[in-house]
Amino acid sequence: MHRSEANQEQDSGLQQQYLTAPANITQNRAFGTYLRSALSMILNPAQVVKGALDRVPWPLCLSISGLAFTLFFLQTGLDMHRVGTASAGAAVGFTFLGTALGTIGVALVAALAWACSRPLGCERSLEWTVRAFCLAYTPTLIFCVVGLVINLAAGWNTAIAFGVTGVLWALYPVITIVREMTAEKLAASLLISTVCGALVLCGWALLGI
Amino acid sequence: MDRAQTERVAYGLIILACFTVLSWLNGRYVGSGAGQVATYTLLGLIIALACLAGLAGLVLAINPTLRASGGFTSAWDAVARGYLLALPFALLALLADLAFGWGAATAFMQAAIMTSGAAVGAELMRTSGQKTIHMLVTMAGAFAFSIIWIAYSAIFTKAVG
Repeated sequence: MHRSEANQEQDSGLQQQYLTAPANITQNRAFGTYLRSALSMILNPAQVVKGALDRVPWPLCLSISGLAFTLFFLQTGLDMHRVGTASAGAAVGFTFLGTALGTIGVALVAALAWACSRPLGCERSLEWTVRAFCLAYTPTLIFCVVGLVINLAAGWNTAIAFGVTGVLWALYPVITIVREMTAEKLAASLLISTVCGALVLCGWALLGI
Repeated sequence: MDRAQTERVAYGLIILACFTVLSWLNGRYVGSGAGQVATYTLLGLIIALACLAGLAGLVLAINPTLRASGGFTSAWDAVARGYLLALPFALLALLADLAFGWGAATAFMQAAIMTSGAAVGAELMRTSGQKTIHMLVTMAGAFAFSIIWIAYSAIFTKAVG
């Protein structure tokens, strides 16, 4: 048999197998791909940015950054409540502000980065940029989950030690995303990423403390 | 001076400036008085550069392509390109400390060391056919750097009383 014919037969066989696989197995495979993409954002974001990002659904991306900032602001509220500078109601209020910053705020910062990158040769869409920026906050989510556990279990103030550190860890994926958007222009990507990071930190400072 | 040499000098100066800023911000909380802060900053800078040289040595040990192409200089260039990422951290640390007074310089320093280490590892992985060993070794090196920094701060605090 000719080699290309054999390959086609193999491909159609795999497609058939994939199509006829039980729905829960297909969903598990897809979820595994999304999870791998999200976790790759922590240490090797370039791999995700150049590859699997388009396949990650936008609600998942938005929920990652949304949940990350929700937990970050919750820790801020808990810390402030513990030292007596905020009531329980204010702590709950901070949590909602975190959700707003993690979704609307991050999307706006992504839109700003997209607008700044357009004159520098950006060929990516605004939707891709928002999706990438939201997924960039995967390390923040992990730091905030660990921080919240320690905050509740040990009673430590964790907003800066875990929350701010988590936001800082997101800078690396953000720089990689902006580099991709500016056609690998390092100086421009460092500048745009610094502005984006500063806006997020200022957002926390103005809304949360 | 050719382009590669110009880049090497520019990257070196940027990294030097970043670690000076981060070290100085850390020193403001570790030492008391200008003399102690200056001593902490200077010693911190020497330790940071020694750690980066150590990381370059590690990279050189595991990467035969770098050994064949330019030896330690190539490894240093790879590390320097990754540690350029310290620039946003240094600028944001200045903003956080001087504008907001957060006193979180250590968090910025640790994040800068670790994420820049990841950037070095990712770049080496990309150029070497996705060999995970590069990421593991550079992350281990960056982790050692971060532990050395914490130990240095603790020892300095104890020494100055």
